[in-house]
Amino acid sequence: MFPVLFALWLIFNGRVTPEILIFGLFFAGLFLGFACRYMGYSMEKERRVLMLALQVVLYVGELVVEIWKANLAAIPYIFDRIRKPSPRIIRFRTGLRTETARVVLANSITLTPGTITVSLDRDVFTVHCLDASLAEGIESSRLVSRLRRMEEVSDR
Amino acid sequence: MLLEILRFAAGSLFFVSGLAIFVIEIYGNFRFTYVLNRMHAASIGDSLGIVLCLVGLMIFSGFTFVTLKLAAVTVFLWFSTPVCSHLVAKLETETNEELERECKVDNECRG
Repeated sequence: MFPVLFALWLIFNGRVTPEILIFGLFFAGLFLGFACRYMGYSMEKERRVLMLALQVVLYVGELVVEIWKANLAAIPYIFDRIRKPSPRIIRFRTGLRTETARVVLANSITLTPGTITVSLDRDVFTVHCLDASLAEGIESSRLVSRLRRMEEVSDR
Repeated sequence: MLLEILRFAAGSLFFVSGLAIFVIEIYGNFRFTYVLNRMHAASIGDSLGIVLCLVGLMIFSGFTFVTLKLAAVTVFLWFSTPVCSHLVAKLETETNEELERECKVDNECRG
C-alpha cells in the first residue's frame, strides 16, 4: 500500500522535486498509519501484499489477455447475422478460500464482456452470460488458478 | 521526424480502433432489447474501447506524467465499472419476476 500511495502522490503532482518527495513520503506514511489504526490494515498485511506483488502483475497480464479474448468472442454476438446469442444464468463454485480472491474474480468476470457476476454467495458465483459458450470452463479458468496460487503464496 | 510520424500513426491506430469499438457498443445497445444483454454490449466499450482510446492518447503524449495519469484513469475505471454493472445486474435479477422469459436459468451449481 505504501509504494502505491507514494506512486499516486508523484503521478498526481506531475513533477519530482525534493519537497514533493519528502511530503510524499510523509503523507503516504500518514495514510498507512491511518489505515492501520482505523481500517484494520496492518504491517503483516503490508508484508503479504509486497510478497504478492509479482503475482498481482502476472494476474493483471492474464486479465488483459482474457479481456482481449472475451471482446473478440463477444463482438460477433452483437451482429445477429453472425452469431445468435442465447443468454443464460449459470451457477458455479471455484474452491477459492478467501473473500478477497472471490471478490477479485467476481470483478474480473464482470470486466470481461459476455459475462456479468449477478451475485456472490459465499463460494457460489451466479453469472449472467450472453451465450453459454462465453462462460465455458469459467470455474476452472486460468484466472482462478492464478488466484489459487496467490492464496498459497499469501499463506506462507 | 520519422519517429514522430510513426508515433502519430500508432496513436491514431489505437484511438480509431477504440472509437470503432464504441460504435459497435452503441449499435449493440440499440439492437438488444433486454437490460442484461445491453450491459454486455456496454461492457465492450467500458473494457476495450476506453482502453484503446487511452493507449492512443498515451502514445501521443509520450513518456510524461500525463501518460501515467492516463494509466491511473484506466486502473480506476477497471476497478469501478464492474461494481456498477454488478449492482444493476443484481437489481434486475432480484426484481424481475419473469426472468426466465428473457434467459435460461440454470439452478444446478457447477464445480
